[in-house]
Amino acid sequence: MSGTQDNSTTQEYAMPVLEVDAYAPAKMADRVGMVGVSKSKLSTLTLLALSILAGVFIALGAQLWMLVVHTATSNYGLNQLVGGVAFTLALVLIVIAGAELFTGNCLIAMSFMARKITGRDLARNLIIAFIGNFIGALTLVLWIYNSGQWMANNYLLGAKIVLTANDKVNIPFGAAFTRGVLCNTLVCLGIWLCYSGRSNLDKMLALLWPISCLIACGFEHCVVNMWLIPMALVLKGNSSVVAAAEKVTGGKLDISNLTFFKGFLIDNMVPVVLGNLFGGVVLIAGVYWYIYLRPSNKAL
Amino acid sequence: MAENSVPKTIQLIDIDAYAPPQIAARIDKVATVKAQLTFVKTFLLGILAGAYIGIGAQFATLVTCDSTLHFGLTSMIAGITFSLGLMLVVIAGAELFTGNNLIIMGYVSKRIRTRDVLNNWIVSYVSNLVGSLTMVFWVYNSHQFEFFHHMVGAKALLIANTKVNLDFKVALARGVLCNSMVCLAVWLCFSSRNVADKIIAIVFPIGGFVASGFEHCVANMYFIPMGITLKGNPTVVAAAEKMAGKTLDFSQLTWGGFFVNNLIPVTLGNIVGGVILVGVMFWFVYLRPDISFSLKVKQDFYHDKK
Repeated sequence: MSGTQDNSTTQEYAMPVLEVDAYAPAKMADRVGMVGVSKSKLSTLTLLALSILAGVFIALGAQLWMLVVHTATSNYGLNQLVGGVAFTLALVLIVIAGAELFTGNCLIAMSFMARKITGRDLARNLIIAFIGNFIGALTLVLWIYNSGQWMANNYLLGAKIVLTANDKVNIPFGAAFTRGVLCNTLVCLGIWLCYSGRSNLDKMLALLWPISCLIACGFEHCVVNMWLIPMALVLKGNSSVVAAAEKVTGGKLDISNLTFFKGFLIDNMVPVVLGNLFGGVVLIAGVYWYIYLRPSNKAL
Repeated sequence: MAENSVPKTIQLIDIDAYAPPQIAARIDKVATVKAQLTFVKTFLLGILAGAYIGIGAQFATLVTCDSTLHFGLTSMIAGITFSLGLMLVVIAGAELFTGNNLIIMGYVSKRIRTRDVLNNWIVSYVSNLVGSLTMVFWVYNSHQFEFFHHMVGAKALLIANTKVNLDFKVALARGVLCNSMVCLAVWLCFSSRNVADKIIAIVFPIGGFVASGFEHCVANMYFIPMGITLKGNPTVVAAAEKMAGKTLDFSQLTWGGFFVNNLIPVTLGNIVGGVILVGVMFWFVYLRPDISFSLKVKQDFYHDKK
């Protein structure tokens, strides 16, 4: 719909043409590349503010997911699905309201591969987004802790958060990496689909399937973990929460690995961030760049 | 749209959803419009908003009153039904205090005066209360609380009693989280061009905040007065005690408990969430003076390719 394109169609058809179709993949690749350029021009403060918002949005989605599944005792798959649908809130907010999410921004590696932005621009965007997401997620840990929501149903919600986080810090490196890869391919695919949509309804429906899939299937998203695991680290100090968690597992609970450095940063964040980067940058951005944007590709 | 950068001969037709910088510009403009509304208009629209939120609230109460699904699922269903309230406010048009917190963006960019902001907030707050109380009157007199062996009334009473027994800090934090999500829902609606967009955009954040149990001051203006009214009905109290499985203490469920334990902390929290976490934050990102976002979002990635 740009100036140059309108000119050419006007000449071709001798009348103005209004195109309302969803964007085709080649055009989506163009749009992603363009967005990468405009993101690289954001000032540091703006970028940081938007990244904090993204962290907050993900945390809002994650707390809703935890709330929805915490009382489930049967129908494991169905409840995972409903939790995933609830979590989609986070990505809806990020894509439509606008925010800089570390995992989603892996897509703008397409601009870098097409040599429209430098490696420094890409690294700057991803690093600031990562830091901002962390700040945003930790802010929500504070607010949600103070809201006392984790006391719901005799501390069952707090127990669910501790148990889920405890599972996350005890995943072997290879599995955490793989789950990170699968997760971010789905996140980036969700965002990729959004670049095809014109209306918000298009975008929200396009997000619903990939995003609820990644939560329901238990893949590892580093920004979700930035809220979930610190929240569990705060909650594990509460004896009522631990007692409720032990009641759920029906035995002594081993939460020795639920620590900030060893459990959270080393055992979870390192493999998950690496997996997220690999899934987003190589499997989605790289592959679509190769198909649609590489210089030798003349047919657009 | 940035018409001046486009040659006059080309008519630029844009059908895509508004991008965030455009949303900010639109809200900035709406703040001016809202500030210019007459007192009578704001007051009447505020009554409507209170009534609409009341409709959503009673709908959510009725749907979840006898749910045997687990707590999380029931909460989610309550959230989805409650979204009706905000859909009516946003699409049918009404002045909701919590949503109007967003006009702070027009204030920070100095389009409207302090007096305008306070005027709009106070008038919409008071009229929301009037609207909600009207809805309590109508719903009570419809004797809907008798449905299903007084279970509907029992559920409403239990909801209200939980809300007036919150700590100040808890109510404040829940208020902050709630209005962040309400203002985000309004923000999403300003991105949308058609009604389907708006409806689905409302369901996620509004359904989310209700399911999470966050506190919305205008919704509480319906829930708690309804509880106070129902407390006087012994059959409803008996049904509520049967539902809760224990004897209940309603000593806080009074007008004093309503204002002191709930409405004051929740309103303060709502203002913090809507004004600071959403309004000022987005103003800082998109509207602060030293920044200029290109509103012409569509241009070709490869100018040199063609």
